Amino acid sequence: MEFSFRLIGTWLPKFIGALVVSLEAAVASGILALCVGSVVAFGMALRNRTLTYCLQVFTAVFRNSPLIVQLFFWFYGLPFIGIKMSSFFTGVLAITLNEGAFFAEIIRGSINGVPKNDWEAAESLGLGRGRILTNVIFPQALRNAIPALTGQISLVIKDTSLLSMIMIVELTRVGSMIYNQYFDLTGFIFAAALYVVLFIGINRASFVLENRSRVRR
Amino acid sequence: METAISFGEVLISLGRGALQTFRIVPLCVLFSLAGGMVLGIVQSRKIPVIREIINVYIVIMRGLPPLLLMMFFFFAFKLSIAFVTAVLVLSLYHTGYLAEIIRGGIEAIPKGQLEAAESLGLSSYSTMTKVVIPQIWYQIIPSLAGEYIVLVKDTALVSVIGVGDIMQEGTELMQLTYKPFEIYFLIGAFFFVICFSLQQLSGWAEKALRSKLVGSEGRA
Repeated sequence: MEFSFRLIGTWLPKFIGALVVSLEAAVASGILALCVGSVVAFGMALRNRTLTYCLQVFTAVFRNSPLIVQLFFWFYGLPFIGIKMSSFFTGVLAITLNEGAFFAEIIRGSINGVPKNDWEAAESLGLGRGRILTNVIFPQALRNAIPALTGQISLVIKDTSLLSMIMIVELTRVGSMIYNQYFDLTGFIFAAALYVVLFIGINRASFVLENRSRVRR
Repeated sequence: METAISFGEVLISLGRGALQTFRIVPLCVLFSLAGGMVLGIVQSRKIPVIREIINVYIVIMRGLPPLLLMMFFFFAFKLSIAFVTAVLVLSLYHTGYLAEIIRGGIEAIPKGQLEAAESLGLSSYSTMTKVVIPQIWYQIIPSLAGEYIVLVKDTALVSVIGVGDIMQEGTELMQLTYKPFEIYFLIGAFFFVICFSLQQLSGWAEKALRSKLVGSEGRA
Protein backbone atom coordinates (compact mmCIF):
# COMPACT_ATOMS: atom_id res chain seq x y z
CA MET A 1 0.00 0.00 0.00
CA GLU A 2 1.76 3.14 -1.17
CA PHE A 3 0.72 6.74 -1.43
CA SER A 4 1.45 8.32 -4.79
CA PHE A 5 1.65 12.10 -4.77
CA ARG A 6 2.00 12.22 -8.54
CA LEU A 7 -1.42 10.65 -8.88
CA ILE A 8 -2.96 13.22 -6.55
CA GLY A 9 -1.33 15.96 -8.64
CA THR A 10 -2.87 14.79 -11.90
CA TRP A 11 -6.25 14.10 -10.32
CA LEU A 12 -6.38 17.27 -8.24
CA PRO A 13 -8.83 19.14 -10.54
CA LYS A 14 -11.15 16.13 -10.39
CA PHE A 15 -10.85 16.03 -6.62
CA ILE A 16 -11.68 19.72 -6.27
CA GLY A 17 -14.72 19.31 -8.51
CA ALA A 18 -15.80 16.27 -6.51
CA LEU A 19 -15.31 18.11 -3.22
CA VAL A 20 -17.54 20.91 -4.50
CA VAL A 21 -20.21 18.38 -5.51
CA SER A 22 -20.06 16.70 -2.09
CA LEU A 23 -20.30 20.05 -0.32
CA GLU A 24 -23.14 21.26 -2.55
CA ALA A 25 -25.11 18.11 -1.86
CA ALA A 26 -24.42 18.31 1.87
CA VAL A 27 -25.33 22.00 2.18
CA ALA A 28 -28.44 21.71 0.01
CA SER A 29 -29.80 18.63 1.75
CA GLY A 30 -28.71 19.90 5.16
CA ILE A 31 -30.67 23.16 4.79
CA LEU A 32 -33.69 21.43 3.23
CA ALA A 33 -33.66 18.74 5.93
CA LEU A 34 -33.60 21.43 8.60
CA CYS A 35 -36.70 22.98 6.98
CA VAL A 36 -38.46 19.60 6.74
CA GLY A 37 -37.55 18.79 10.33
CA SER A 38 -38.77 22.16 11.61
CA VAL A 39 -42.09 21.88 9.75
CA VAL A 40 -42.67 18.31 10.94
CA ALA A 41 -41.79 19.12 14.56
CA PHE A 42 -44.01 22.19 14.36
CA GLY A 43 -46.87 20.09 13.03
CA MET A 44 -46.44 17.57 15.85
CA ALA A 45 -46.55 20.34 18.46
CA LEU A 46 -49.94 21.54 17.19
CA ARG A 47 -51.52 18.58 19.02
CA ASN A 48 -53.86 17.64 16.20
CA ARG A 49 -54.27 13.91 16.66
CA THR A 50 -54.53 12.89 12.98
CA LEU A 51 -51.72 15.19 11.90
CA THR A 52 -49.43 14.02 14.70
CA TYR A 53 -50.12 10.39 13.83
CA CYS A 54 -49.28 10.93 10.15
CA LEU A 55 -46.07 12.77 11.04
CA GLN A 56 -45.07 10.03 13.49
CA VAL A 57 -45.45 7.47 10.73
CA PHE A 58 -43.29 9.67 8.48
CA THR A 59 -40.46 9.97 10.99
CA ALA A 60 -40.62 6.31 12.03
CA VAL A 61 -40.47 5.07 8.44
CA PHE A 62 -37.66 7.35 7.31
CA ARG A 63 -35.56 6.92 10.45
CA ASN A 64 -35.78 3.16 10.62
CA SER A 65 -34.81 2.19 7.10
CA PRO A 66 -31.35 2.53 5.54
CA LEU A 67 -30.64 5.63 3.47
CA ILE A 68 -29.32 3.52 0.61
CA VAL A 69 -32.65 1.69 0.34
CA GLN A 70 -34.50 5.00 0.26
CA LEU A 71 -32.05 6.38 -2.28
CA PHE A 72 -32.56 3.43 -4.66
CA PHE A 73 -36.29 3.57 -4.04
CA TRP A 74 -36.42 7.13 -5.41
CA PHE A 75 -33.65 6.73 -7.98
CA TYR A 76 -35.09 3.66 -9.69
CA GLY A 77 -38.72 4.26 -8.75
CA LEU A 78 -39.35 7.87 -9.78
CA PRO A 79 -38.50 7.45 -13.49
CA PHE A 80 -40.79 4.43 -13.43
CA ILE A 81 -43.81 6.61 -12.67
CA GLY A 82 -42.73 9.26 -15.16
CA ILE A 83 -40.85 11.68 -12.91
CA LYS A 84 -37.48 12.48 -14.42
CA MET A 85 -35.00 14.25 -12.18
CA SER A 86 -31.24 14.58 -12.38
CA SER A 87 -29.50 12.07 -10.12
CA PHE A 88 -28.12 14.95 -8.07
CA PHE A 89 -31.62 16.14 -7.18
CA THR A 90 -32.77 12.60 -6.50
CA GLY A 91 -29.85 12.22 -4.11
CA VAL A 92 -30.60 15.51 -2.37
CA LEU A 93 -34.27 14.51 -2.11
CA ALA A 94 -33.38 11.16 -0.51
CA ILE A 95 -30.95 12.67 2.02
CA THR A 96 -33.39 15.51 2.79
CA LEU A 97 -36.27 13.17 3.64
CA ASN A 98 -34.06 10.81 5.63
CA GLU A 99 -32.22 13.48 7.65
CA GLY A 100 -35.39 15.59 7.87
CA ALA A 101 -36.98 12.82 9.90
CA PHE A 102 -33.98 12.81 12.28
CA PHE A 103 -34.01 16.61 12.59
CA ALA A 104 -37.75 16.47 13.29
CA GLU A 105 -37.22 14.09 16.21
CA ILE A 106 -34.45 16.28 17.65
CA ILE A 107 -36.52 19.48 17.40
CA ARG A 108 -39.62 17.73 18.73
CA GLY A 109 -37.70 16.60 21.81
CA SER A 110 -36.38 20.11 22.24
CA ILE A 111 -39.90 21.62 21.97
CA ASN A 112 -41.06 19.23 24.68
CA GLY A 113 -38.12 20.39 26.79
CA VAL A 114 -39.22 24.03 26.88
CA PRO A 115 -40.63 24.68 30.37
CA LYS A 116 -44.44 24.56 30.75
CA ASN A 117 -44.38 28.02 32.36
CA ASP A 118 -43.56 29.59 29.01
CA TRP A 119 -46.70 28.08 27.51
CA GLU A 120 -48.79 29.27 30.43
CA ALA A 121 -47.30 32.76 30.42
CA ALA A 122 -47.94 33.13 26.68
CA GLU A 123 -51.47 31.78 27.07
CA SER A 124 -52.22 34.26 29.82
CA LEU A 125 -51.18 37.01 27.41
CA GLY A 126 -53.98 35.80 25.15
CA LEU A 127 -51.83 34.28 22.38
CA GLY A 128 -53.21 31.43 20.27
CA ARG A 129 -51.48 28.05 20.05
CA GLY A 130 -49.93 28.80 16.65
CA ARG A 131 -48.62 32.18 17.76
CA ILE A 132 -47.20 30.72 20.99
CA LEU A 133 -45.33 28.08 19.01
CA THR A 134 -43.86 30.42 16.39
CA ASN A 135 -42.99 33.35 18.62
CA VAL A 136 -42.26 31.85 22.02
CA ILE A 137 -41.53 28.15 22.00
CA PHE A 138 -39.95 27.47 18.65
CA PRO A 139 -37.06 29.98 18.81
CA GLN A 140 -36.05 28.64 22.23
CA ALA A 141 -36.40 25.03 21.13
CA LEU A 142 -34.24 25.57 18.07
CA ARG A 143 -31.51 27.21 20.14
CA ASN A 144 -31.54 24.41 22.72
CA ALA A 145 -31.35 21.84 19.94
CA ILE A 146 -28.14 23.27 18.44
CA PRO A 147 -25.69 20.70 19.92
CA ALA A 148 -27.79 17.75 18.75
CA LEU A 149 -28.47 19.36 15.38
CA THR A 150 -24.81 20.04 14.61
CA GLY A 151 -24.02 16.44 15.53
CA GLN A 152 -26.59 15.32 13.00
CA ILE A 153 -25.28 17.75 10.37
CA SER A 154 -21.85 16.12 10.53
CA LEU A 155 -23.61 12.91 9.44
CA VAL A 156 -25.05 14.60 6.35
CA ILE A 157 -21.61 14.96 4.78
CA LYS A 158 -21.04 11.24 5.31
CA ASP A 159 -24.43 10.50 3.75
CA THR A 160 -23.35 12.20 0.54
CA SER A 161 -20.85 9.38 -0.05
CA LEU A 162 -23.84 7.22 -0.99
CA LEU A 163 -24.40 9.44 -4.01
CA SER A 164 -21.48 7.61 -5.59
CA MET A 165 -23.89 4.68 -5.93
CA ILE A 166 -26.10 6.65 -8.32
CA MET A 167 -23.30 7.72 -10.65
CA ILE A 168 -22.58 11.13 -9.18
CA VAL A 169 -18.90 12.03 -9.27
CA GLU A 170 -18.25 13.02 -5.66
CA LEU A 171 -15.33 12.24 -3.34
CA THR A 172 -15.94 8.53 -2.82
CA ARG A 173 -16.57 8.06 -6.53
CA VAL A 174 -13.27 9.71 -7.50
CA GLY A 175 -11.51 7.38 -5.07
CA SER A 176 -13.01 4.32 -6.72
CA MET A 177 -12.42 5.73 -10.22
CA ILE A 178 -8.71 6.01 -9.42
CA TYR A 179 -8.68 2.48 -8.05
CA ASN A 180 -10.43 1.11 -11.12
CA GLN A 181 -7.91 2.78 -13.40
CA TYR A 182 -4.60 2.18 -11.60
CA PHE A 183 -5.42 -0.35 -8.86
CA ASP A 184 -4.05 2.22 -6.47
CA LEU A 185 -5.59 3.10 -3.11
CA THR A 186 -4.21 6.66 -3.07
CA GLY A 187 -7.52 8.07 -4.23
CA PHE A 188 -9.39 6.45 -1.35
CA ILE A 189 -6.84 7.67 1.18
CA PHE A 190 -6.94 11.23 -0.13
CA ALA A 191 -10.75 11.24 -0.19
CA ALA A 192 -10.77 9.83 3.36
CA ALA A 193 -8.42 12.60 4.50
CA LEU A 194 -10.73 15.22 2.98
CA TYR A 195 -13.75 13.70 4.77
CA VAL A 196 -11.94 13.72 8.10
CA VAL A 197 -10.84 17.34 7.59
CA LEU A 198 -14.44 18.32 6.79
CA PHE A 199 -15.64 16.45 9.88
CA ILE A 200 -13.13 18.21 12.14
CA GLY A 201 -14.06 21.55 10.54
CA ILE A 202 -17.76 21.00 11.21
CA ASN A 203 -16.97 19.94 14.76
CA ARG A 204 -14.96 23.11 15.43
CA ALA A 205 -17.66 25.29 13.86
CA SER A 206 -20.39 23.65 15.92
CA PHE A 207 -18.33 24.15 19.07
CA VAL A 208 -18.14 27.87 18.36
CA LEU A 209 -21.85 27.98 17.51
CA GLU A 210 -22.77 26.20 20.74
CA ASN A 211 -20.77 28.64 22.84
CA ARG A 212 -22.25 31.64 21.09
CA SER A 213 -25.82 30.44 21.34
CA ARG A 214 -25.64 29.55 24.99
CA VAL A 215 -27.86 31.79 27.10
CA ARG A 216 -26.98 32.56 30.67
CA ARG A 217 -29.93 33.23 32.92
CA MET B 1 -38.59 -7.82 -21.32
CA GLU B 2 -41.27 -10.11 -19.99
CA THR B 3 -40.25 -11.79 -16.79
CA ALA B 4 -41.64 -14.86 -15.19
CA ILE B 5 -40.50 -14.24 -11.66
CA SER B 6 -43.34 -14.83 -9.25
CA PHE B 7 -43.86 -12.99 -6.03
CA GLY B 8 -42.97 -16.18 -4.17
CA GLU B 9 -39.60 -16.37 -5.88
CA VAL B 10 -38.94 -12.73 -5.03
CA LEU B 11 -39.66 -13.45 -1.40
CA ILE B 12 -37.38 -16.51 -1.43
CA SER B 13 -34.47 -14.51 -2.87
CA LEU B 14 -34.98 -11.68 -0.43
CA GLY B 15 -35.23 -14.22 2.37
CA ARG B 16 -31.88 -15.67 1.39
CA GLY B 17 -30.38 -12.19 1.51
CA ALA B 18 -32.08 -11.51 4.82
CA LEU B 19 -30.44 -14.62 6.30
CA GLN B 20 -27.03 -13.30 5.26
CA THR B 21 -27.86 -9.95 6.87
CA PHE B 22 -28.87 -11.80 10.02
CA ARG B 23 -25.49 -13.53 10.04
CA ILE B 24 -23.62 -10.22 9.84
CA VAL B 25 -25.54 -8.22 12.46
CA PRO B 26 -24.91 -10.31 15.63
CA LEU B 27 -21.19 -10.67 14.85
CA CYS B 28 -20.82 -6.91 14.40
CA VAL B 29 -22.85 -6.25 17.55
CA LEU B 30 -20.53 -8.50 19.57
CA PHE B 31 -17.21 -7.36 18.11
CA SER B 32 -18.03 -3.67 18.26
CA LEU B 33 -19.25 -3.99 21.84
CA ALA B 34 -16.05 -5.77 22.83
CA GLY B 35 -13.89 -3.21 21.00
CA GLY B 36 -15.88 -0.28 22.32
CA MET B 37 -15.67 -1.66 25.85
CA VAL B 38 -11.87 -1.97 25.72
CA LEU B 39 -11.32 1.44 24.11
CA GLY B 40 -13.92 3.09 26.35
CA ILE B 41 -12.30 1.74 29.53
CA VAL B 42 -8.82 2.72 28.37
CA GLN B 43 -10.10 6.21 27.45
CA SER B 44 -11.64 6.67 30.89
CA ARG B 45 -8.24 6.03 32.50
CA LYS B 46 -6.74 9.03 30.64
CA ILE B 47 -3.33 7.50 29.90
CA PRO B 48 -1.31 10.31 28.21
CA VAL B 49 -0.09 9.05 24.81
CA ILE B 50 -2.48 6.15 24.33
CA ARG B 51 -5.38 8.48 24.90
CA GLU B 52 -4.34 10.67 21.98
CA ILE B 53 -3.88 7.67 19.70
CA ILE B 54 -7.33 6.34 20.50
CA ASN B 55 -8.76 9.83 20.02
CA VAL B 56 -7.32 9.93 16.52
CA TYR B 57 -8.87 6.52 15.79
CA ILE B 58 -12.26 7.69 17.06
CA VAL B 59 -12.18 10.92 15.05
CA ILE B 60 -11.25 9.01 11.88
CA MET B 61 -14.05 6.50 12.37
CA ARG B 62 -16.56 9.23 13.13
CA GLY B 63 -15.43 11.32 10.18
CA LEU B 64 -15.34 8.66 7.47
CA PRO B 65 -18.35 7.46 5.52
CA PRO B 66 -18.76 3.68 6.10
CA LEU B 67 -19.13 3.14 2.37
CA LEU B 68 -15.65 4.51 1.70
CA LEU B 69 -14.20 2.49 4.56
CA MET B 70 -15.82 -0.65 3.18
CA MET B 71 -14.41 -0.17 -0.32
CA PHE B 72 -10.98 0.74 1.05
CA PHE B 73 -10.69 -2.41 3.18
CA PHE B 74 -12.10 -4.56 0.42
CA PHE B 75 -9.50 -3.40 -2.08
CA ALA B 76 -6.62 -2.99 0.40
CA PHE B 77 -6.59 -6.41 1.99
CA LYS B 78 -8.24 -8.38 -0.79
CA LEU B 79 -9.60 -10.87 1.71
CA SER B 80 -10.96 -13.76 -0.25
CA ILE B 81 -14.17 -13.73 1.77
CA ALA B 82 -16.12 -10.50 1.43
CA PHE B 83 -18.14 -11.54 4.47
CA VAL B 84 -15.08 -11.19 6.73
CA THR B 85 -14.33 -7.73 5.32
CA ALA B 86 -17.93 -6.65 5.90
CA VAL B 87 -17.95 -7.77 9.54
CA LEU B 88 -14.48 -6.33 10.15
CA VAL B 89 -15.29 -2.91 8.70
CA LEU B 90 -18.66 -2.50 10.39
CA SER B 91 -17.17 -3.62 13.73
CA LEU B 92 -14.20 -1.24 13.47
CA TYR B 93 -16.45 1.62 12.42
CA HIS B 94 -18.96 1.22 15.24
CA THR B 95 -16.22 0.53 17.80
CA GLY B 96 -15.31 4.21 17.44
CA TYR B 97 -18.82 5.32 18.32
CA LEU B 98 -19.34 2.75 21.09
CA ALA B 99 -16.05 3.71 22.75
CA GLU B 100 -17.37 7.25 23.16
CA ILE B 101 -20.70 6.02 24.54
CA ILE B 102 -19.07 3.66 27.05
CA ARG B 103 -16.49 6.24 28.14
CA GLY B 104 -19.39 8.64 28.78
CA GLY B 105 -21.18 5.97 30.79
CA ILE B 106 -18.11 5.26 32.91
CA GLU B 107 -17.43 8.92 33.56
CA ALA B 108 -21.03 9.44 34.68
CA ILE B 109 -20.46 7.12 37.68
CA PRO B 110 -20.10 9.36 40.78
CA LYS B 111 -16.54 9.75 42.11
CA GLY B 112 -17.69 8.78 45.60
CA GLN B 113 -18.25 5.21 44.45
CA LEU B 114 -14.67 4.89 43.23
CA GLU B 115 -13.39 6.25 46.52
CA ALA B 116 -15.66 3.87 48.42
CA ALA B 117 -14.34 0.95 46.38
CA GLU B 118 -10.77 2.06 47.03
CA SER B 119 -11.39 2.36 50.74
CA LEU B 120 -12.73 -1.22 50.71
CA GLY B 121 -9.37 -2.26 49.27
CA LEU B 122 -10.66 -3.30 45.84
CA SER B 123 -8.06 -3.40 43.08
CA SER B 124 -8.67 -1.13 40.10
CA TYR B 125 -9.57 -4.21 38.07
CA SER B 126 -12.28 -5.34 40.48
CA THR B 127 -13.50 -1.77 40.82
CA MET B 128 -14.03 -1.65 37.08
CA THR B 129 -15.61 -5.09 36.67
CA LYS B 130 -17.61 -5.28 39.89
CA VAL B 131 -18.55 -1.67 40.60
CA VAL B 132 -18.41 0.50 37.51
CA ILE B 133 -19.34 -1.67 34.52
CA PRO B 134 -22.50 -3.21 36.05
CA GLN B 135 -23.84 0.29 36.60
CA ILE B 136 -23.19 1.88 33.22
CA TRP B 137 -25.90 -0.10 31.36
CA TYR B 138 -28.80 1.85 32.75
CA GLN B 139 -27.15 5.07 31.62
CA ILE B 140 -26.08 3.98 28.16
CA ILE B 141 -28.92 1.75 26.97
CA PRO B 142 -30.67 4.47 24.92
CA SER B 143 -27.47 5.51 23.10
CA LEU B 144 -26.40 1.89 22.72
CA ALA B 145 -29.71 0.98 21.09
CA GLY B 146 -29.48 4.05 18.87
CA GLU B 147 -26.01 3.02 17.73
CA TYR B 148 -27.09 -0.56 17.03
CA ILE B 149 -30.01 0.71 14.95
CA VAL B 150 -27.47 2.64 12.87
CA LEU B 151 -25.38 -0.54 12.64
CA VAL B 152 -28.32 -2.58 11.36
CA LYS B 153 -28.99 0.08 8.74
CA ASP B 154 -25.31 0.20 7.78
CA THR B 155 -25.36 -3.49 6.94
CA ALA B 156 -27.28 -2.49 3.79
CA LEU B 157 -23.95 -1.08 2.57
CA VAL B 158 -22.19 -4.45 2.50
CA SER B 159 -23.94 -5.11 -0.82
CA VAL B 160 -21.29 -2.95 -2.56
CA ILE B 161 -18.61 -5.55 -1.89
CA GLY B 162 -20.84 -8.45 -2.88
CA VAL B 163 -21.70 -10.20 0.36
CA GLY B 164 -25.05 -11.38 -0.95
CA ASP B 165 -27.15 -9.62 1.67
CA ILE B 166 -30.76 -8.55 1.24
CA MET B 167 -29.81 -5.33 -0.55
CA GLN B 168 -27.74 -7.12 -3.17
CA GLU B 169 -30.45 -9.71 -3.77
CA GLY B 170 -32.91 -6.85 -4.09
CA THR B 171 -30.85 -4.96 -6.64
CA GLU B 172 -30.39 -8.11 -8.72
CA LEU B 173 -34.14 -8.76 -8.56
CA MET B 174 -34.80 -5.17 -9.55
CA GLN B 175 -32.73 -5.60 -12.68
CA LEU B 176 -34.71 -8.74 -13.55
CA THR B 177 -38.20 -7.55 -12.75
CA TYR B 178 -38.11 -3.75 -13.11
CA LYS B 179 -40.25 -3.34 -10.04
CA PRO B 180 -38.18 -0.87 -7.98
CA PHE B 181 -40.98 0.39 -5.73
CA GLU B 182 -42.16 -3.05 -4.65
CA ILE B 183 -38.71 -4.50 -4.05
CA TYR B 184 -37.20 -1.56 -2.20
CA PHE B 185 -40.39 -1.21 -0.22
CA LEU B 186 -40.01 -4.84 0.94
CA ILE B 187 -36.36 -4.30 1.86
CA GLY B 188 -37.22 -1.09 3.66
CA ALA B 189 -39.95 -2.92 5.56
CA PHE B 190 -37.46 -5.63 6.55
CA PHE B 191 -35.10 -3.08 8.09
CA PHE B 192 -37.98 -1.15 9.57
CA VAL B 193 -39.21 -4.18 11.49
CA ILE B 194 -35.75 -4.86 12.96
CA CYS B 195 -34.95 -1.26 13.85
CA PHE B 196 -38.39 -0.48 15.20
CA SER B 197 -38.39 -3.55 17.44
CA LEU B 198 -34.87 -2.67 18.65
CA GLN B 199 -36.19 0.77 19.57
CA GLN B 200 -39.17 -0.68 21.46
CA LEU B 201 -36.89 -3.23 23.14
CA SER B 202 -34.54 -0.52 24.37
CA GLY B 203 -37.44 1.45 25.82
CA TRP B 204 -38.64 -1.67 27.58
CA ALA B 205 -35.15 -2.55 28.88
CA GLU B 206 -34.65 0.95 30.18
CA LYS B 207 -37.92 0.78 32.10
CA ALA B 208 -37.14 -2.68 33.45
CA LEU B 209 -33.68 -1.59 34.62
CA ARG B 210 -35.07 1.52 36.24
CA SER B 211 -37.69 -0.40 38.20
CA LYS B 212 -35.02 -2.91 39.24
CA LEU B 213 -32.75 -0.15 40.49
CA VAL B 214 -35.61 1.53 42.32
CA GLY B 215 -36.76 -1.81 43.74
CA SER B 216 -33.37 -2.86 45.10
CA GLU B 217 -32.43 0.47 46.62
CA GLY B 218 -35.85 1.62 47.63
CA ARG B 219 -35.49 5.05 46.10
CA ALA B 220 -35.99 6.75 42.81
